[in-house]
Amino acid sequence: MANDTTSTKRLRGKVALVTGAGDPRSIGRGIAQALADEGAHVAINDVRADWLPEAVSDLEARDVRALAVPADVSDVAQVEAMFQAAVETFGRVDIVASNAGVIRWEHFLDVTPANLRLVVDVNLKGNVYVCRAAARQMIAQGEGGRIIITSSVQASMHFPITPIYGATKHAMFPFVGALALELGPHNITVNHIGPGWVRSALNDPAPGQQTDEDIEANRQSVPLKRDGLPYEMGRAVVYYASSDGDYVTGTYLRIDGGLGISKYSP
Amino acid sequence: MNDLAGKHVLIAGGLGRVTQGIARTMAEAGATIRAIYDRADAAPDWAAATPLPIDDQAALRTELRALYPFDVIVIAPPAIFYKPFLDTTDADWDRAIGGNFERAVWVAQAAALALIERQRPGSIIFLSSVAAQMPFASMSALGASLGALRALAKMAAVDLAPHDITVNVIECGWTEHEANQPYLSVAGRAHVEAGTPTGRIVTAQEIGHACCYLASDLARSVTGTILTLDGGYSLTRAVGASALQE
Repeated sequence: MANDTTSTKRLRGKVALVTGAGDPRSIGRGIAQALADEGAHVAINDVRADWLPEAVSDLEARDVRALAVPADVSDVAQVEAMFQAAVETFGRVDIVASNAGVIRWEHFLDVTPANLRLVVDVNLKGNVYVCRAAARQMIAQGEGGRIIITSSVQASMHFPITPIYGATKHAMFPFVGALALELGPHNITVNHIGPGWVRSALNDPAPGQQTDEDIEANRQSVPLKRDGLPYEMGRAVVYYASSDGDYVTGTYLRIDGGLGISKYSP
Repeated sequence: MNDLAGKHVLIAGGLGRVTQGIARTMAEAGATIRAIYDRADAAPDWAAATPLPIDDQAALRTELRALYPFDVIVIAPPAIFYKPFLDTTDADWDRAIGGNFERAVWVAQAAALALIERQRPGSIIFLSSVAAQMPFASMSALGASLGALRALAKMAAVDLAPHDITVNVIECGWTEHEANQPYLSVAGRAHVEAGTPTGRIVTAQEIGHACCYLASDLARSVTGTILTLDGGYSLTRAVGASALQE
């Protein structure tokens, strides 16, 4: 478990909802942990309901309330039920980390209709449904809100064998920009974060990353010479969610150890 | 190939062998070529060439106007060099910013004024590097100068559009430029080729073809653009699909 040493409980009393946070190794879990360490109560989502009891225990150990809200984010009815459940328990939702995503490693020429649909449904439609439900709830509350989407370093740099994933992540630029414009008058900020190489279950194992040597070579190609931690992604979400991020909307923040700035690290 | 018959092209800035290859390609497309160079420098031996007072803005304007006619000016960065940021001296910054940016601006400005005075459409083409859009080690001065040029080109495009003068930038990947030879002559060439999706280094002729397009009548509505010409080098860290092999 990541140890928090800098928390000042800046989110005490706030309510957060984090999607795609069931797996203990996931970026979503790191986000949920960081929000909880700042004092936010957390509705924690995953499509895998069986992962959520452990997730709830993890968060409750951080002295906040936690609620399992299993749902498939690509199903609009399930998303709306998820928000309803969170509001019934906590009374409100102030912070939404729309993080759930899937990847399929396929050559462009081999992309199957099923995988195309899956990646688009979860990464693109899922964000639409979650952000829309979040915005409606926040507007109804009338006190603004914070929406933070997990895109990827792939939003701004390109890789082979993940063309559909990359497309759905790059799509977050106009999406986040449009939402920031439309929701700004409601004091709802919308931003996205770009994680670099995090050894979550999403990309461990990844093609080309089968051996210890491969993994180390990949690590050495990152300017900061290490993998990113899910909790570090969570700290960026805390920035956006806290008063530090009051005037920050429509932005993209890479948290990638410098992966995205250079083709070859010195 | 685009037809440049009847077009007069000025070539300025770095006049090494890549620029020479570009000029040859434009000549093959029908253009007449004239190089312009600073009086303090040696004349190129591969084209008709006119020395100009590049550092004297007023004199440069007068003499470039006298050099008319021309329709196109291609400006190459003269200062391509690699040096760690911590070792970069004032002289290095002057060389990069002064050579690649300031002098390019003065030449472009004087050329635009001459075109406007004659009420002629024109094309200004800045040659640059993908270093303006992706960072490399030991390229801080070069990259900064070309980044400035990138922004300048877009602003100038706006200002000059009413005069039917287009301003565009071609950002090249690795080329056979003289400054690259120490790297390409050793293991670097294989590294660059492996890191380029097309698997090879961009040729001067290919850059020349891009210049032909931007200089031609086919591109009169193309202005303020950045044409990346690098075989896909800047797209990605991971190249090819070998990563799928288990």
